[in-house]
Amino acid sequence: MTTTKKALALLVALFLAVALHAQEATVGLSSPTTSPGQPVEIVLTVRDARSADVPETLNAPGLRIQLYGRSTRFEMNNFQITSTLTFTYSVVPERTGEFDIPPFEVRVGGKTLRTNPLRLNVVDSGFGIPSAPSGLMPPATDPGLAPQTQGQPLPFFGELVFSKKKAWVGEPIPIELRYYFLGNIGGEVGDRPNLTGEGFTTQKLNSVPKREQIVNGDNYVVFAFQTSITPAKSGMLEIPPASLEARLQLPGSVPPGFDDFFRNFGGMVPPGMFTNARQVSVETRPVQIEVSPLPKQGQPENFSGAVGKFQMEATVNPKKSGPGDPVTLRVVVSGQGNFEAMGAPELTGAENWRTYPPSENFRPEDAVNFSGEKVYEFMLIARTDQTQTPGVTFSYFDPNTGKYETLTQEPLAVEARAGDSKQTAPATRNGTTVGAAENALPAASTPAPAKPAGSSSWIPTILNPAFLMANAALGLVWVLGVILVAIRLVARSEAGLRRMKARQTKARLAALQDCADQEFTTRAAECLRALLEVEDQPLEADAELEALDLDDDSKDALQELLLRDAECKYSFGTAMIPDRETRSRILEALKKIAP
Amino acid sequence: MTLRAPIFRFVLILCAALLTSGGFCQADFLAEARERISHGEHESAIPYFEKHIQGAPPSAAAYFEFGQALAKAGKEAEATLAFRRTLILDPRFQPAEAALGDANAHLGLTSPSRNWRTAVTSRIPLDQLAIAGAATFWLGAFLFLSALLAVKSRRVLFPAAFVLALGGAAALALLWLVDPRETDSRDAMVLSSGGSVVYKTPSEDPSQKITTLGQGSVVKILTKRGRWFHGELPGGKRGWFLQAGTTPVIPGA
Repeated sequence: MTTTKKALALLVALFLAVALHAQEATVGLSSPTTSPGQPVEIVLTVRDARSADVPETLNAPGLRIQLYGRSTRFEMNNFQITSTLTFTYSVVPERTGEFDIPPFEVRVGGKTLRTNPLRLNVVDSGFGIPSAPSGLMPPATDPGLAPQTQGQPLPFFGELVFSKKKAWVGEPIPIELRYYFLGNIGGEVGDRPNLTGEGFTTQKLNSVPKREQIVNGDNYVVFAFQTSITPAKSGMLEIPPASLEARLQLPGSVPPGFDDFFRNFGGMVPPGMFTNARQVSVETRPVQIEVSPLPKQGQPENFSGAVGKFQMEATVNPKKSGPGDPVTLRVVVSGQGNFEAMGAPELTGAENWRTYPPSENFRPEDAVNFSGEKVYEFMLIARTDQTQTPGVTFSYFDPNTGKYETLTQEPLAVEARAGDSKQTAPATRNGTTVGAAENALPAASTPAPAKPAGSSSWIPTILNPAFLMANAALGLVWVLGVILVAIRLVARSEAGLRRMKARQTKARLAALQDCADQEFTTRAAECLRALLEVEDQPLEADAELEALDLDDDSKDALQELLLRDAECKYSFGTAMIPDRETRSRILEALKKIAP
Repeated sequence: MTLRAPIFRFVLILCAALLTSGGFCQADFLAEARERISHGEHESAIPYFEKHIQGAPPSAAAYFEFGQALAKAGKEAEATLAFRRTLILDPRFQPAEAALGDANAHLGLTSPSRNWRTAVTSRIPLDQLAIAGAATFWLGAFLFLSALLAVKSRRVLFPAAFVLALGGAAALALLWLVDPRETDSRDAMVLSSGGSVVYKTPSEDPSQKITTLGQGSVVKILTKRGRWFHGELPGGKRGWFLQAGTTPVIPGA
């Protein structure tokens, strides 16, 4: 029996040694956004290490970062033991802005581990994604947040965090739903919580990366979801509990018979060794918000339902347009508020412009569509020549001050010319006829004739018969050109020149056969010089003839021909006329050297 | 000879009269349609627009006015089709794009999203691109021929010919890829007020139903089988639906 116990103890020790090998350090922020003076937590987790050296503080201008807690946890899952060191830092922002928190350097044994850098967004308290509630903030923790049962921490609980308890109708309120699970509990958590209720609308729930957080000295894994709710009616608004489904491995009791075994190790049962699977629904507490109606007093005529804090900018493009051509007035409304519910800004002084409802494009800067910019593009066509665009006004309700504000954009300089109403043919824009159709808009008093604008066929240009015929004709011409060029190139080539020479020689020899006896010598000598390519240097003919690979009789006959030709030249035509035999010998010899 | 000349003249005059009378008729239909619109009679203007469109060459302006008359008469789906046809004929016509967006909004449909094709067609006139592309290509091709014969300037002519021919061919290829008359040639629109039911198989078996396409929805036709179309739905799914109630976006396609 004693031997068995020793063997088991050795086995457990071996498990510990094998399991503690892969070390890593990770960090997480309890909230990515906060406001000045409102602290958040950084939880630095070092896995698979028994001890680690971490910095007491971290240098980040604008932030006070201080270590205030550490804990060690051993876990056994599926007979594998893991140890986790958790260090908790308090981060207190001193001003607004975006802050980059540098990586932590953690020394574990002889190794240095580096974490990822973090980014913290610090905004004014009125319009931020809510930071962690004060109850969670270090160094004091709220004992009421994580209620304990008989001295034991709750295995899980939910919480709804929001930034304000008083709001206005139509004012979006960012909220965060947090679900806490004790660090030693395993299991699966649902995709997103269920948040429904009356009197408010919600944005799509956005999941925040899970993080670890210490509450009342216990380490919890936090699953958080951000969204914003917009009250639709005044009065006391109750946000009902939002539930998140989870299947958890909750700690169970030691099975009978194993008590004695664990008593040998001091009675300590490794956490996670005996668990019960349970389907649970984790709920947040209901929350009440007092919602006030938007005041009637001071409401501008052009108020279109925008609630929040906004800025406005406008540009015009092009700054100079041709007759009847449109210009685009681009108005960008940026800030924080109910972008999805608000209407477009209004144009002022637009009597001399033809205007159309603007296009809208919203670009959110956060996941809950609370911050961002909405771009409105007004297409304007001048009725008469214009030097400036219409002005733009936009009114909104500022929930911080409780008053309506109106943003005004003065007219922008532009050179826009009106279309010529007398013209019968429509004006053209970049080669495309548009004037006719634009003049034909309902706002126009006299519709212009419907001259074809754009294409006048349903057949794609590239398949249009006229286009194909024109290209086929050009192609035919090109093919003919290729043939002519090829013929010319072939004629210029060495082979071509040789063929031409052969043809000429053949013709000369044919002519020699029929020529008169008096001319034979002269013409045969000319033919010989042409064959030897010494027409310009007649004296070279002998030497070239000598070098030819020819039988002696033929050579003699040709040499005799050259002599006779010389005699003819210098005897003024009185030289001897060749007899028939000589003539045929010369012809035979010439044929032999012909190509 | 004396007989032939008057007959020839008579035939010429007759042909000219026939040709011009057709044109006058089309112009009359359009003028009548506009006259009615100017008096706010949108509903009664529609048949005249239809007659004009049937007889005259396609025109973006005519389709746009037709679409506006349909929209004012409460025929949103038909108006959507007319505005789509306007944009196919003239993709750079912004008022038609805005009107299409409004008409789609009335039908509860989202307007077609902008992509690189629409980005190109909204900036470049396609007919001019075709002419410029073909001209550049042939210029390069003929320059290539002259480069073959040239002796001294070959080194300059060959690369120039290559660049021109390649540029022209690229322009024509781009035109082929973006011309809505080609890219939308298989599109059809659901015009029936009850929409069109889409099935997994070409049979009206309720158990095979995939979805119901709303009025104004545009589908890409893949094949035809009897009275059925097999098409790709806006979300990318494929299914069968009846030909009745759908109209090709490009007439006669």
